[in-house]
Amino acid sequence: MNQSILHKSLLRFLAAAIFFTSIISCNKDLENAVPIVPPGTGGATQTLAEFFAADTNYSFYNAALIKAASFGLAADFNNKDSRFTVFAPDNNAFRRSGISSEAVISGGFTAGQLDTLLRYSIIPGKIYTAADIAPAFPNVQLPSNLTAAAIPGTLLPFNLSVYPSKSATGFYFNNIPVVAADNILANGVVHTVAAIVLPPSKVLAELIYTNDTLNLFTALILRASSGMAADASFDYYLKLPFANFTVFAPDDLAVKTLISILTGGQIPIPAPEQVFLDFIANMLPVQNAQGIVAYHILPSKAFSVNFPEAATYFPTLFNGSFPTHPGVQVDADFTGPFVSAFKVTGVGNQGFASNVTSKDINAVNGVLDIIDQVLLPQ
Amino acid sequence: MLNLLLVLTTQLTIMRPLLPIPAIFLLLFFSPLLSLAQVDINGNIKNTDNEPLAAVSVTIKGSNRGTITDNNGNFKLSSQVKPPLTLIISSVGYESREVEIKSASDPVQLNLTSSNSLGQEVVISATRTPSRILESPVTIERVNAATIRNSSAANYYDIVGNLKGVDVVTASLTFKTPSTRGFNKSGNARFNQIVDGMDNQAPGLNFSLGNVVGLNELDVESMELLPGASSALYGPGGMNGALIINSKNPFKYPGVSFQVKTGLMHTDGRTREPSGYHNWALRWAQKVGKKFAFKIGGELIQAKDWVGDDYRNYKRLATTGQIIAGTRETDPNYEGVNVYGDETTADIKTNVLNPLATAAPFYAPYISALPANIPVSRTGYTENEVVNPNTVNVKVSGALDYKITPSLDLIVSGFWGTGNTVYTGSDRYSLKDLKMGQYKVELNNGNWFIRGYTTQENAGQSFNATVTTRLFNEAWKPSGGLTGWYAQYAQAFLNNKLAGSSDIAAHNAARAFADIGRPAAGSPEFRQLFDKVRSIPIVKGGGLFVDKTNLYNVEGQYNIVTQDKGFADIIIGGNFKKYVLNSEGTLFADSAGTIGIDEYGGYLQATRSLLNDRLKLILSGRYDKNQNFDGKFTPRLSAVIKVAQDNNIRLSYQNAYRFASTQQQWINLRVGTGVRLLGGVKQLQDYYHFDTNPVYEIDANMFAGNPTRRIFPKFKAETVNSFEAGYKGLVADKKLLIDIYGYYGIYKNFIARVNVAQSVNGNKNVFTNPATVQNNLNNPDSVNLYSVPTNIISDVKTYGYGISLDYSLPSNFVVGVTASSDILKDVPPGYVASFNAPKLRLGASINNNGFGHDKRAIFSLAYRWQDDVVYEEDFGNGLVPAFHTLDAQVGYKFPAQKFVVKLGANNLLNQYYRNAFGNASIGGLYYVSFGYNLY
Repeated sequence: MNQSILHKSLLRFLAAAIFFTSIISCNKDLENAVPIVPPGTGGATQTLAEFFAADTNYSFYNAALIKAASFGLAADFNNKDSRFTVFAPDNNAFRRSGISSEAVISGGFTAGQLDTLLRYSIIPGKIYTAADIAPAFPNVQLPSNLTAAAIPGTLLPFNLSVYPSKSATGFYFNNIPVVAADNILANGVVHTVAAIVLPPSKVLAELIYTNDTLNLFTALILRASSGMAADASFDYYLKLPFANFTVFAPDDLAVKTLISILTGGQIPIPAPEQVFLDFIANMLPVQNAQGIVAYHILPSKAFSVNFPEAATYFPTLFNGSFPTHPGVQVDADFTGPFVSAFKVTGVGNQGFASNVTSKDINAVNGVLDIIDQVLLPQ
Repeated sequence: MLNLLLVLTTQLTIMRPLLPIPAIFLLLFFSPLLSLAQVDINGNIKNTDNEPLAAVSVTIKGSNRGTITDNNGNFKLSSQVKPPLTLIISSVGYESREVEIKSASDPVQLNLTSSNSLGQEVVISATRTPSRILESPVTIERVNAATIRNSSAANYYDIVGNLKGVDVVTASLTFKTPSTRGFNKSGNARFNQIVDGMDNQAPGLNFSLGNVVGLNELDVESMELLPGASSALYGPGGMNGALIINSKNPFKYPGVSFQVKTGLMHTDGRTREPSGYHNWALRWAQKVGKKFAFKIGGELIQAKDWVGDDYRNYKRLATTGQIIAGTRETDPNYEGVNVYGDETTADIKTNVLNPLATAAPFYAPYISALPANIPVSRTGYTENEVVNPNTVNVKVSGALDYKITPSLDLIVSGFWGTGNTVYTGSDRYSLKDLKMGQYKVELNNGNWFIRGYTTQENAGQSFNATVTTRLFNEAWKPSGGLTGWYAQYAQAFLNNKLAGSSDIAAHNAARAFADIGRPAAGSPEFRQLFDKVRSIPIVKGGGLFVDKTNLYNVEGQYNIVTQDKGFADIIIGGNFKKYVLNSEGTLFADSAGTIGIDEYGGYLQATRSLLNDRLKLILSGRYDKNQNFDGKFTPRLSAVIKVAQDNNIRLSYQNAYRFASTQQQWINLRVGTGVRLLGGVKQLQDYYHFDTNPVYEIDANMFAGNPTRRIFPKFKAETVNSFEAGYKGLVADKKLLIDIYGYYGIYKNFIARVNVAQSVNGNKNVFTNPATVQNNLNNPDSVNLYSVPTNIISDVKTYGYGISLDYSLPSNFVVGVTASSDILKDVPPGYVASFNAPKLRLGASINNNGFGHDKRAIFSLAYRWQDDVVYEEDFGNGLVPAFHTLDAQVGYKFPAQKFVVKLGANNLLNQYYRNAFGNASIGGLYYVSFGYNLY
């Protein structure tokens, strides 16, 4: 092999080597942005819509969903980018609430009514499992998916609040026990409730003022409010939709009994109601009226199921003026997750408890319990 | 007599094309007179076939005096040095020769032997006097005009990038910064670029504008690259190397040349539609009589620029950061690397939602259950939406050369350039209508020169893309306020949550809501508002940076050529430099008026040959003083040991230093990321009350709630002690050229930026709670962030090596391979050293400057691979993956018509790469070039 052949071979080899290195080894493609995979819900693939359609225990619920479809909830349930915490009554819960068949649902309600009903039992935008609800008194106030109005001055809606809670006695949605929790789906979680949870439509003032057994309590509220600034009175707050109160409203007989005692029997219990009304409006010192009303209102919205089994004192609005006052003693007795007896005792009632005769009347801004004896702070 | 007449007529015929007749008479009359003042040496150079050789370089050894032969191989050289003297005669493709001249009256007749050109070049910058490259005392690389002619590079600056040990940072098509031995960035302050004796650095912007205002390709005689410390001869700055570019003397290289390159870029439409590349260059040099010559030149480059298209998500942690997962659609706080305006971020939880929860307590538990912080960035615009894609570069240069005496030249020259380009500094800058001029007056005798030059810079309409886009967003819709972008976003976000959206769906819906009416990129509304914002100076709340900083420099050098008579060959020189910083407060702390910085220095070099020329010792030293720094002496000691003919070992110790750049001294600029870049002078620290309102280090201690106060000592010049050994030799029958070097450098007072935080209200508590420190750091109402240059007290070490083998094959083929490496060690944690050099680079090439029929065909192929680099810069930190490029060219010469046609490709395989974090991604560029009269 002479030198020039050697050179040529070498040259060819080098040329080929460069060529092939270049062709074979490619620059790695420049890296592109990597999308973040949004956190899933734990591997479930079924959407809420698919779940309700498939599970025959929820055929009533599904019927409601379909009937209300024009309002969009069914579509939202089908959207994987949705997140909902659904407190869904199963067929038994519907029956327990007096709806006996799917036909009643499709025939007895308008789509709008059903949409309202369904949306009130949903917390939007987030999955709350039972573990996410902190066991604190009285409950957790969260927005439902039911929009009542716009919040003035903002772009935000005012959604009615709902009050899930967890305690030693159970997991509740408002005052209704959850019978099966944490069915996690691709775009939400389903908690099965024992009965239909109805949305409130009235504020406390309206509920009280229109209740025929609470005429005198109404008069007390108005008498108490007459001595207060218009935008800081009991009347104002009980009408304010954004507020949260628990009102133990003594019925008319209870108030009459009190007045009769206060007047040393000068106004006897059988006297005409107008006499009591006049007394409250004209004779009862405003301060006394304020004290009585304040002592019947807790500054939070607590359903009967939110109270502990053991009798416990809770502060009232009375504590606004007397911070060290022990409050009222509330005693709820449970049978399973349900409250079987519900009593409240004032400090001045000498151990005589007032019985809650009508409990958990849900208002937009609180809950109303009707009692049979006026609570006395001292 | 008849004979004489015959000769005269012949000469006249020959000279007619070059000189008008009267000039010849002048020449004939005055030559004898002038020759009294100095010696004229005449000669004729031919090849071994007795054909005259044109453009052969003839220089006097030990001086800067030289000429080239004309088309007939003739030369005439005037020398002040009386014979005996030595001429170095060299030409690419021929073996260089040294000829002893005993008497000027004997014309030099020489036949050069054709050879591969390996190792035959003569370099000047290694010692500031000519010497054979094989005998250079320090590592040096030379790129000559012939290499440029035969190169595949679309721009001659790219050729440097294929040399061993060199990295090029490509901010955009026309903004390329070569560096050696690390610290790569756009505008490397540790690497000097000197063009015709003028420092090419824009004095205010601190980057070299070599390929923006430098020479046009046709006017480049040579580029000499000195990797490693070069302060001893070239003054402060060249700690890591210097690129010395020399233009063609109009006396030596007269004539008209032009070159038209037309090409295609973006061929795959990845970031832009396919578009053209145009590069037109013209040079005209003319002798007018014997004493006067001029040249003018111009170059126009026009193309659609490469695009910074790194849309990965960048997470800033106070002042550093990293790439994380996320896109605009999947991360509400997305900040794309090359997306601008999205640097504005706010926590909607604390700023909007929490106050909302107070006002609407019924939503308080729901809001409280949302994440503790919900940082959201504003919607940005991508680089190609805000930066003009049209990159234009116009260079004009001219020189007048008047021979006061045959050996004393008065040279007046100027370079002026303007253009649009993109530069990566602390942010991405769109340099728009940038103008820079360099003007020089020089008196040059073979043995001494004195020159004065000025660099006049005007940033034109340049703007900071990041800042401008953020301000554009504010101008369209303010971030803050009750109806501001964030209020709208946060409310819309909550709205969507309340309607049942997942977090990310609610974010995207909220963004869509807050962005209603956002001007679409490129719409007339967008243009109008954007142009308004970018034309308001930064200090007045816009994005325009004003920079009219100028530099004035006077320098001189004297060579005492006494090699054969005295003790040693001595060079002395000195310079005075004045910077006048003028940014009207947009870049420097000069809102009250310009800031002057004075710097002066002097150098001396002695060369002595010993042991019968087997050992050459060169001792150089330089002293410099900058008004903001203590004076600094830097020595260099080098030795060349001739182990055999054409085989030399070089050893050197160099001490080099640099004063902080003008920006590192006086910058005062709050950049897009919210950090204020401060210069290191004490005046600035005093202005921000570092003494009474302490600054704290942003480090693990701070995040643990236990911040450490940072006190900045007096700012010192940075120095490096560099030891280097190398070998360069021709072996294997002179067919193999080997060049090897290894170096070890120790940096003292290394200048690096350190990030510190200061409470806005002088309240240290903002740093003492680990839970809130991070939030406070990102909240400009709570914490000021500064990036301050300071000296690292402990030593930082670098080391590396380079090797190249070039093998000459028959038929003019030359193959070469290179490998090089640079490594930085011992940087203390918390400092951003920005070394940015790959651990390994490999290169391979095959060239042929004449083969086939009449040796008319040319071709070259250059391959380069580099390892990945963890790239750190003010703009961002991240991994630059390993990449390779292949450049190729084939061409054909038409000698009779003096035409060359080339077909070339840069990044032939069109595999996109970036060579620095956040910079443009570079694809293939394919061109056809027509050159006329290239030499």
